[in-house]
Formats: sequence, C-alpha cells, structure tokens
Amino acid sequence: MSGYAEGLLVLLSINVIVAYAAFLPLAAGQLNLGVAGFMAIGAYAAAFLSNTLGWPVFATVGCAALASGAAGLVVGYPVLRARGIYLVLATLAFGELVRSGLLNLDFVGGAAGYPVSGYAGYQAVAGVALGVVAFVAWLYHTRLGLNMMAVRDDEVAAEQFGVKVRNVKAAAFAIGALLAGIAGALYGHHFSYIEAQHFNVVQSVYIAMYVLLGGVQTVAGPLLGALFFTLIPELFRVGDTWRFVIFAVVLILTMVWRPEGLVDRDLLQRLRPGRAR
Amino acid sequence: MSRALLEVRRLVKRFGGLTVIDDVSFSIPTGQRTALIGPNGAGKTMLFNLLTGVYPPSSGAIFLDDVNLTRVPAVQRVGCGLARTFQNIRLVGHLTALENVLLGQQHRSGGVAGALQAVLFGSNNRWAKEAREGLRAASLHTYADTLVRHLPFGVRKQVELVRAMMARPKLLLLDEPAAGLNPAETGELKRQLEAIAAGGVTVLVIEHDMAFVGEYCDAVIVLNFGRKIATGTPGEVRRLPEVREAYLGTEATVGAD
Repeated sequence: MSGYAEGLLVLLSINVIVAYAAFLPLAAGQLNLGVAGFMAIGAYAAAFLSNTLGWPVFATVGCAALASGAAGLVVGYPVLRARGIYLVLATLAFGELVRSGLLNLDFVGGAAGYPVSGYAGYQAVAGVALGVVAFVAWLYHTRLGLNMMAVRDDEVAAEQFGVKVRNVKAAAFAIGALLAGIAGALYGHHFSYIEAQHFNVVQSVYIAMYVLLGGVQTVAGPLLGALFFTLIPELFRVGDTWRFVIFAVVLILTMVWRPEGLVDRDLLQRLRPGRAR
Repeated sequence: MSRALLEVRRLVKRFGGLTVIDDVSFSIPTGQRTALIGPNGAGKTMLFNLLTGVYPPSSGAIFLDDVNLTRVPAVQRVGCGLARTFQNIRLVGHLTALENVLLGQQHRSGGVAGALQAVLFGSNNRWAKEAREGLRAASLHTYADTLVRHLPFGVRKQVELVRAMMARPKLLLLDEPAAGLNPAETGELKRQLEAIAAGGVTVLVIEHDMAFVGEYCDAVIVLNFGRKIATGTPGEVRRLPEVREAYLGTEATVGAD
C-alpha cells in the first residue's frame, strides 16, 4: 500500500470513529459540538500513559476510551438538562475548555505539542474502526437503540411508556464520548504527535456534519458521511485551491436534495429485497 | 364490577390564573368502560395528562389500585398499570409498526440487561415474537415491517392501541380512538376494544362519537370548563339538560320538535 493510500485509510478510519461519536447523541436528539474536546482527552490520556508509563498501545487506547467516556458521563448528566441551542453551546464551550486547558498544561507539552511514543500502524487503526462500526450496529439493534430513536422523536411519548429519557440521553452521550476518546488516542499513536490546537471547534463542526450529511436515522448514514467528507475533497484535489469551494457546493446541494441525510430508513427499506413495505 | 380501580379525589390543575381542571372527583370500578366527554377545551386530555404524570396536579390525589400515584414520576406510572394512546397519534414515524409496538414493552424489559438486548431489525427473541403476536391479534401483521409514516391514518391509530396494550395495563386511557376513522375501521376498533375489555382491562375513553359511546360504554363522565358536570349511564347523561346545553346542544334542538 502506498504511503498516500495508507494515510488516507487512517484518516478515513479515524473519521468513521468520530462520526459515530457524534452520531450516538444525535440519534437520541442531542447535538454534541464538543466531540473534538473528547478526542483531545483520549489523545492526551493515551499519549501520557504511553510516554511516562510505557504502556502498550492497546492498554493506552483502552484507558483513553474510559477516560473520555467518564468525562462524557460527568459532563453529560448536568449538560443534558439544557435543550436545543443551549445544549449545543454548552458542548461547544466544553470542547474549547479542554483545548485551552491542554494548551496551558506544560507537563503534556502545552502550546509546543506533545510527541507520542507508542505507534499504531494503519492496520490497527482500520481494524479498530471496523470494530466500532460493528459495535454501533449492534447497539442500534438493542432496546437502548430503540429508546434513543424514540427519545429523539418524542420525549414525552417515550416517557409515558417508561423510557428513562435522561438516562438514555446520558448513555448515548457518554458512549459517543468514549468513541471520540478512542479516535483521539489512535490519531496520536499513528501520527506520533498531538497538539491541542488540532482539536478545535472547526473539527467538532466537521464531525457533526459527517453525521448530518450522512443521516441520523441509520447506522449506514455516518459511515457514508465520513466517506464523503474524507474522499470527496481528495477527488477534487485537481483544482487544489478551489477544492473546498466545490466541496461546499456539493454539500449544500446534498442537504437541499436530502435534508434528512443521504441515507434514511426509507432508502434502506427499499434496498432490502423481499421485505413487505 | 366491584371496588374502584381508579380513584380521583378533588383534582385541580391551574396554570397561573387559569384553572383547567377544577375540583374533579370520580372513581372507576374494575372492568367498567367509562367515557369522558365534553366540548373542546373542557379539560379531557388535560385530565389524561394529569393521570399519566405529564403535568403534576396543583392539588388533589390520584389512586390506581390503591396505590397513590399523585407524586409518582411519569416514567414509572406505566409500571403501575397505566397505558394510553394520544389524540394526535404519537408513534415514531421513521420506525416500523413492529418497532413502535416494542416500545410498549419498555417498562417490563428490565434494567440495563434489558436495554442491551437486541430487539430490532429481524431479531426474533421473545420480545419481538410477542410484539408480532400483538400485531397479528389486531390483524395488522402485514404492516409489521412498514415504516409508520407510510401507514394510513386508521392503521396508525390501531398500531398505537397495540402499543398501549403491550404495556399490559390495568387501566387503558384512549384519547379519541374513533376520531377520523371510516365506518369499517370503527367496526374493527369496536371489535378490538371488546376483546380488550373481555381480557379484564378497565377502559377510560375520551370520545365525541355519541353512538360509539352509547354502544361501548357503561358509564359517562361529562366535563365542561374543567368541572365535572354530570355522571351516569350513556342514556341518563344524554337526557340531562345541562349536558345538552354544554355539549349536545345542537343535536337537542334538532330533536326538540
């Protein structure tokens, strides 16, 4: 595999994982614009454990996931009391808080960035991404998945049938944060260097767009959104300086054409052979 | 028909200076089919919302099977034996009929272990089987895998009824089940409601269709401006002048000569 293809595969894998990190809260109706913040927590936790304690990569990634997942739970419970635009602002503020906090923490490099000693090859990163897709697909089949969809659609009706709305939202938010931590840890271990500035609001917005473009109704949606966002700018490399303009136009047209995202349940039902509709 | 299953004592709901439920008391014996009637804005749906905990009452008390529900959180009331349908159908449109029905089992599904059990998209465990069986009993099995948003209005209403029954309630609250149905669908609804009542479930139904009320219900409670103005059998209630005036006025003038 060429260096370019490897690099692209790693980027794609990480984007797929963070897409699901944003997807899970969105599936329960919560827009998290702080995903990059949870990525940063994972990246720095893994790097610190690797650099100072010499832990193997699988252990640092596991701990990074737990750290960002725990942060998601701690932040999520109070923050999820806020609704709509206020929740979005709170998560955005959280992401910025993490970024600016890390920027001032000298023991992890501060503004100079932080080299990461343990290395994760492209095979490992892609393997974990596949595992995450399988995990989310399974989760979406469970009653928790059903509850998430019910909460997104109508909280009051869901509660009348015994859905613990707040717990469902917090679980979706925390599991999403855990996935973001995995993505951040893998990013650091592959590129061997992290800096707080990388995990900024623009990242978080992009990540949310993967999901909104791909669609929040199905597990296939975020996957397609991440593919689209990773590969389309590459395809437009020919007109280098214009590629993001072309990309933005494609994005706007897509949202006009399919406001619910590229993939929705209707589409999947139609693709399923031999099913009563 | 024996002791009271539902007992509502001096229930009041105020929003600021507006009293929407005003000192309402009644009780419903186990197995009785009761209609809740009254003009638009009389507080019928509000009364349902107080019973199921969407809003807390300003004062008064609600007992279901001798359990005081008044301070029980909404999310736990379905577990106490209360299930409902909604006036404006509230199913999840981008889920199939079967998936919506699965939601009715929620309170019986059991904690975290239950939450992590696969139930959707072709799962075939006891939950999915039970939900399919529920749809079959209502002759809706052909719609099981159709997204609800593509179903006709009447079918959606029936799916909502199946979902409510999946909760295995003691008291079923139906908010205008016959509204908007064609005669064939109303016939099917009656058949289903007969089966539900035969199964020992007590029913409280908000309904404007007086023919339906007369045929299906044993008792009627009349609300007007948030107050209970009459109770009795459908026949008795129909003859009361205050009920005619508040609710059946136009019909009464037509029949007066």
